[in-house]
Amino acid sequence: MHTSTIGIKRRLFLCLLFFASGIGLTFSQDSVVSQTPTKSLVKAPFESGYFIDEQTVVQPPAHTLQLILQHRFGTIQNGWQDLAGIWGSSNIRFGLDYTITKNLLVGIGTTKLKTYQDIQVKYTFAHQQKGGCPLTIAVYGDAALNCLNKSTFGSSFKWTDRLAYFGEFMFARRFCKEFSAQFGIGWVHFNQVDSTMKETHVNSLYNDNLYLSGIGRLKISPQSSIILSYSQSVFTYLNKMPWPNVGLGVEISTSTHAFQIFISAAQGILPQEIAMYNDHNPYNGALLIGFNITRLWTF
Amino acid sequence: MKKGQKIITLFVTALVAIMFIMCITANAQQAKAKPWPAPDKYKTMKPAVKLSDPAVIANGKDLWAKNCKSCHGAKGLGDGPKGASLKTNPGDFSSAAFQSQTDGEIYYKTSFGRDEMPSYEKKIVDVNDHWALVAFMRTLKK
Repeated sequence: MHTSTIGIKRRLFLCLLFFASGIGLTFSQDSVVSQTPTKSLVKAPFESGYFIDEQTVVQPPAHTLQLILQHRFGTIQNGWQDLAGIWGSSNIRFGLDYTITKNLLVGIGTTKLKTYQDIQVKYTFAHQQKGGCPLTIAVYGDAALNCLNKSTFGSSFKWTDRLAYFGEFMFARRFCKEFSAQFGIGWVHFNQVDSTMKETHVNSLYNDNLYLSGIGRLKISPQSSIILSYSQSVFTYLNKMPWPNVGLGVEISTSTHAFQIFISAAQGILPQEIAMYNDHNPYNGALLIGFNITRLWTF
Repeated sequence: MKKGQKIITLFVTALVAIMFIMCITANAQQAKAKPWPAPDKYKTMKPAVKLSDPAVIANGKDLWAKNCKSCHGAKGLGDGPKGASLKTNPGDFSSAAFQSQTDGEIYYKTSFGRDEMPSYEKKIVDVNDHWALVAFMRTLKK
């Protein structure tokens, strides 16, 4: 195991998180006042803030509690032997989000893989408007605590070694009623990574990775859509990890639910895990079945 | 037929019969909606959009499918899959009694709800979308 010596990167992530929460606090009053709908506002580009393995610019209405259940089965490579991974080892995340204002969301979650405990914040600071802003723009950040036994982290363990951060700017546009797309650029930082990463990495940024993502939605009925996602970590390692993640599925939504079932290439659920450790090669058929379910309660 | 198969067949038949009886009972016990007067300011409220605009109606139809259809049914007859499990009958929106309400009255009931009918005031944030639903409900008239 190797501990980062590049403190600047860690600070960058903390800055991004504080930036996101800071904007929310600064403008929270404005957000409450601006709840009166404006004629020129374009409808949300997606049905949910979760999209296969990605985040979207979308947030539920203000003062809404969102329950999220994310499930990833094992890979489909074994075929009938484990019923396309359904009987295989799974990963699950259970989370709760709350929208403090219509533009600011905070959330917590717990994940089976590496027993991650996470907190997240999302702030939407621009909305697409007819004849106005062409994009909906949001920033997302999360911090995750790896709660595996400390022996996993090596002899020079410090509790901060458990932390990993992710921050992303997202730019989305609803092109028409049927089609919406989003581009995201993010940064991931692990306070501690496997020592093999240092040995095999192409440059010195072995604790970090630049993350690019793109998602698209094609609505086929008022409640149903075909959903597609792709993400790629830019700093690749010599063993080609992390592999890019590709997802294709179907989404069904109502006013209070969104249900997505899909095939993707990431066993991880938190973005930092996918961006840094995705060892499923989609080009080799290492795909898996997954689903996301959200439920909203508005107060 | 083996004994085990007989037991399973009997069990499944009994289960289906129980579910059938429960469905019938649930429907039989559904109460008729109590009177629901809208405040005066809503009775006379004028729509913020043109209700006969095809684009508005199309928007309302999409919103209906996502938010209303599960209880009220595709044609507003109150026969949606969730409608049968409600304590109160969702009503027939194609009827003369429903359609005789003013636009503002329908807007009020759609937006604020009561009892089992949820409020959409916060779920559908754009006021024009509420009116689009009213526009679509007008097309349900027989």
